[in-house]
Amino acid sequence: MNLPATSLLLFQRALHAWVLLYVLTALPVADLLWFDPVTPLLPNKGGIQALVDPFAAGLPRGAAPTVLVLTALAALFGTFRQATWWSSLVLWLGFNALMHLSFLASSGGLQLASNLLFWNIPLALGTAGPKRFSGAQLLGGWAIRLQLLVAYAATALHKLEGLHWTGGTALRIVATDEAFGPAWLASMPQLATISTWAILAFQLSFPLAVWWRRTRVPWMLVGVLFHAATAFWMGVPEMAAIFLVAYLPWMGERTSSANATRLGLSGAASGTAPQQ
Amino acid sequence: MEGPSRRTRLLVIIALAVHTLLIACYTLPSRMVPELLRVQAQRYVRPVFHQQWRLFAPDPPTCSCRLEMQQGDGPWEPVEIQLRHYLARRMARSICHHLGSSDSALEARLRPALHRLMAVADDGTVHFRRVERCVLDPHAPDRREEHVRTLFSP
Repeated sequence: MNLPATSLLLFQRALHAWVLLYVLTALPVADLLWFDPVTPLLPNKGGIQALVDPFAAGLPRGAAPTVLVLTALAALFGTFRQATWWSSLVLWLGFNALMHLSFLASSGGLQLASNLLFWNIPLALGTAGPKRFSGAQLLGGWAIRLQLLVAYAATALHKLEGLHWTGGTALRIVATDEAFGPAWLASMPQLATISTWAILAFQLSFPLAVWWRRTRVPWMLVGVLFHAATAFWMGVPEMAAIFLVAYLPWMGERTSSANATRLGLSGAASGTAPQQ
Repeated sequence: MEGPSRRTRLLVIIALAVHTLLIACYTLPSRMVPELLRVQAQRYVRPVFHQQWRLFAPDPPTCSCRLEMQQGDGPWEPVEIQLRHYLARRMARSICHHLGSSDSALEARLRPALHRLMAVADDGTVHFRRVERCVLDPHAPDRREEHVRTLFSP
């Protein structure tokens, strides 16, 4: 159950970069999201929920700018340096606080990011480039890998329960919804039907295809196209990006090592753990 | 650095199996999960690991949802015209969908939220309405029936 060390290193950097980019792109509406939020406060049940939603648990809203700065700093740190368990903890806590404060602007992408950030904490327990992973790192790394598969499997199985995905009409309905698109797809019913079934097949088969190198790469390439389309037409760019970040732990060690070298991260990734 | 012992590996495998099983029980269609497991999964997942993967599932919404605003006696205009940022537009869509529940308590909570989003005073000079356009035939989804409901009426 070993893991590709360089792939996980690239994942950690990309995850931090994703948070940084999300925060930076949200800054023009930071007032509406966090400082004087549009989202009403929901009652907090206490316990561990107070940890992930501290504003509902009584943290003054005036603390939001501080939380934002700490989150951005932790994200910046982990983008360019090897993240530590405590910087990862700060990032997870800060991101969750901000996400709950603006839940009206939330998406599945933010929920996925929150989960990946949680498991990034045990993943950061240990030195850069371990020859063997610790138990905590194995737990974090595999939880991150499996999370992606659960997401695809769950959405595909939900779609199988409906009428319009199996019936081939789902994408035409989405395309004619004024909030989404592309509107031109509605005038090409055959293409829309084939695309509907292709998406369903892709999401259903991804959790299996990713285990073998020969199928992993083509499925990931289809995933890139699919998520790029959702970013453009569904208005969920951050969701598309976080799914692609979640692909990285599944990348083969050889590919990731080559990418790490290109990015100047090969030193940090030395002493790669053997991949099964 | 030594790798984890066999015992540690076994513990990791058990923890991963339990965690993934509970996440799956929480996110999969309820029909597929025994009630007892679903309740346990909700207790474990909801506080920290909450997630749901039902975007356009089991079916995409057959009614589009749009909020419109009228200032004074001016024309009704979609609120999204004034919202340039994608997160602001998403909040407007989210408010629109929440307002479809006919829950008067929720409507009361979202009233200040919508005025705040649109940066307008809640002094009775600005009016909002919710416009739904619903598919009549899934094979001809571009032909839709429009339903309009005035919001926050006394």
